[in-house]
Amino acid sequence: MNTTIRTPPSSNPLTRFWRRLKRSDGLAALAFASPWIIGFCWFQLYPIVASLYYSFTSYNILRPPVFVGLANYQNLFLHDELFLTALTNTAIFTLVSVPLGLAVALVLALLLNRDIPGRAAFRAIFYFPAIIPSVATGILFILILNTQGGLLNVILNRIGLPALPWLTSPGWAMPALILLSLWGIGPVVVIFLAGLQDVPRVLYEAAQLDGAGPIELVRRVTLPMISPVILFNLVIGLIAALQTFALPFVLFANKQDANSIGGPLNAALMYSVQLYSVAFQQFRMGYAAAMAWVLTVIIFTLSLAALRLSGRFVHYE
Amino acid sequence: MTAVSRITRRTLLKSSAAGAAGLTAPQLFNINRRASAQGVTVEFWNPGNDPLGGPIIKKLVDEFNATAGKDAGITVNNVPVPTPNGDYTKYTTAMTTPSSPDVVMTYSYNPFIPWVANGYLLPMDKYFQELDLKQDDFYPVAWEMVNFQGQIWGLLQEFDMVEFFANQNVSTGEPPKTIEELDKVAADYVKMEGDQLVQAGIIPWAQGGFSPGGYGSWGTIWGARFYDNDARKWTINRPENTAWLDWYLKYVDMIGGREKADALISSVPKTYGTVFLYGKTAFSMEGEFIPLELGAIGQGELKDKITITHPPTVPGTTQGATCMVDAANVFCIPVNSKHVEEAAFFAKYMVSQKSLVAWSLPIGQMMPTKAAANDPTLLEQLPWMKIFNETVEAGNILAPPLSPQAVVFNQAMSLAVDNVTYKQKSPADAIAEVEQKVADAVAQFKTTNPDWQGE
Repeated sequence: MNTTIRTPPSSNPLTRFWRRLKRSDGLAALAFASPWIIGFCWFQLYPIVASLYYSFTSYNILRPPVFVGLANYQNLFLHDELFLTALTNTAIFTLVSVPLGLAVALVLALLLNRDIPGRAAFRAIFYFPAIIPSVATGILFILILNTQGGLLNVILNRIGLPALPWLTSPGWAMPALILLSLWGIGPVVVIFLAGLQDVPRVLYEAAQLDGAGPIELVRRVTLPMISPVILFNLVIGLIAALQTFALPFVLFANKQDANSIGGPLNAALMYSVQLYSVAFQQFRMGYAAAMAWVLTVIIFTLSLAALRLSGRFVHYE
Repeated sequence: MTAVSRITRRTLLKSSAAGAAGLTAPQLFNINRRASAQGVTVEFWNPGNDPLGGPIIKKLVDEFNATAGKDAGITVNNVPVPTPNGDYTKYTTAMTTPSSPDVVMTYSYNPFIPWVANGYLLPMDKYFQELDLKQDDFYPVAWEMVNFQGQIWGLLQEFDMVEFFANQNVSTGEPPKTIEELDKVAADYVKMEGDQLVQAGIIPWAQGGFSPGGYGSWGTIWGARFYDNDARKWTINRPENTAWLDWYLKYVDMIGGREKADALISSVPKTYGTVFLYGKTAFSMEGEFIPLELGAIGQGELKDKITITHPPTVPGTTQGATCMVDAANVFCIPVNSKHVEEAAFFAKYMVSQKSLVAWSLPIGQMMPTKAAANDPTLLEQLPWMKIFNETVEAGNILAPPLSPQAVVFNQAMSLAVDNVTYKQKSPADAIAEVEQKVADAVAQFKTTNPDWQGE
């Protein structure tokens, strides 16, 4: 008589999970992935959770945090004018620079996708700015955009146009920053190019047989076919724009006056720059954590909205 | 073959000298014997990766290691850590860890008070008393700036201040002695080319030293006092605190608007961002280090064309307080320092007269100690320092606001001056806004630091 001794089924879900893991290759997989899991938990998950807790405290790193409830969030929204200025500036920057960047990158990618001489060289040239550090870029553009004697204004004067106060006027600081954001669109162009090369030629041929012109081809074939790529670039662009730090910091933080970090009349005070100032100049880490969480919620909401709305305009094969 | 060491007269003398030094140095500076016996390495972080200060710091550290440090069994490891745009984040974070530097030097006073207030530094009274460091050796302002809650938290290596500079290539005649005279002549030097401002008499909000908008210079001259350093209380919304901003408005109109001034300022390299050095304004409030920096920007010939005097006075006032300390280099000891006594010993060496003069001679800096400031070699080689010393010795220099909220105040004041000079807000409204921001910051600070005396 064959008798099989079976382990009685456990009611504990954790025990059931553990047994399943032991039977499958899950344990080995976990062991191999453990360096990443440990690193993630220690260097990312723990700081994220800790910062959420700190956002409800008054905290300066060395002294124990003091729980203050929602006071940091109340101060942010009800009393902190700089927070609202930074939030507004960042929103304007994001709303303009992201669509503008996507449009310019798409146009460049369409041009680079054509069979033109020197195409490989042009692709490299457009990507090149992306490998230059933001700080170097910032310093370079300070020289180019100087109101008096800056290269761009010299050129404008030569062609009979007035010089513009790019970095020195409250009215021009934000437009200048938005224009400079185009400097780093090389990676977006490359991603669009990859998407464009994935569009089947047969679709273009069919559309041409139906009488579609160049604009119709782009509108009816290219854009729908690369819409997942557009969505990807949109979400990544939103996240990057909302976190912009290095370029505005280099362009507008006044070397002579370390307290002036937002350009003329704080017209280019960006959220991350103000967050940095609160955390590392004023040592108000709890308050800075609250700022960071507000930004996280904004990014999460916008990304979620983009993904939810994507059903209406994104076409998957 | 056995190596036999022979005692010669030379080696005997060397050994005796080394032995005597080893005995006397620790006794002289009361450094503990443990350091001498075991040999201690002190990690010294400083921003000296610049071409001016870096080599001097390295030389001083090397000298220390070869002399006083060697005698006391201390080796200092010189670690230059850059502070781009005055950013001391790396220092702050390192100071919270067990591998904290033992002693830190700053090129800026900005991080010092927040470090003290938030518990990043150790009070140094005990160690400085043991090292026989005397308060009387320092100018009162230099001692006041490191004194919080009745304790000493660091040592100034130097500080920056401003006096009134006139460029003889642009302005002729004697520099103005009163604000009325300045107003009159400044208007004469305003030059436009088409729509562009190409020369001005002075742009006060941008030519008042390092304090945001020049509140430390022009504000002080006009009687503004934003913080009572004795009572440690903010006094932002006094009627006298807006007079300097009302005066600024006169210059906004004289120049043709703030944007025109900003355009002129942008025409010079940002690194040495003062238009005065490039001959585009007749006057400026500039620091004691400027004459030695002119050569570095190709304006060396201007050195002989500059007249340095005390700033003009406001109506009804004789020469009162004329400026505030703008910036300072500080030696301080992090709370996680592992070699506190040795670090204090090294800090004292770095503010000895010899070290201070060696620091100041090549780059021209205000000295915190009376002896170093009046060093004959220094005054002979940098004669303009006498004007600056006069102001300090007459007590006409103020310490900056000695409050943990100074950073918030400075940021708010920078915006207030912008608001006034762009004509977005009246001086009274702009100052009231500063007061509100600082009051909010004080209230928040008190929640974590209820024991801190004052605001």
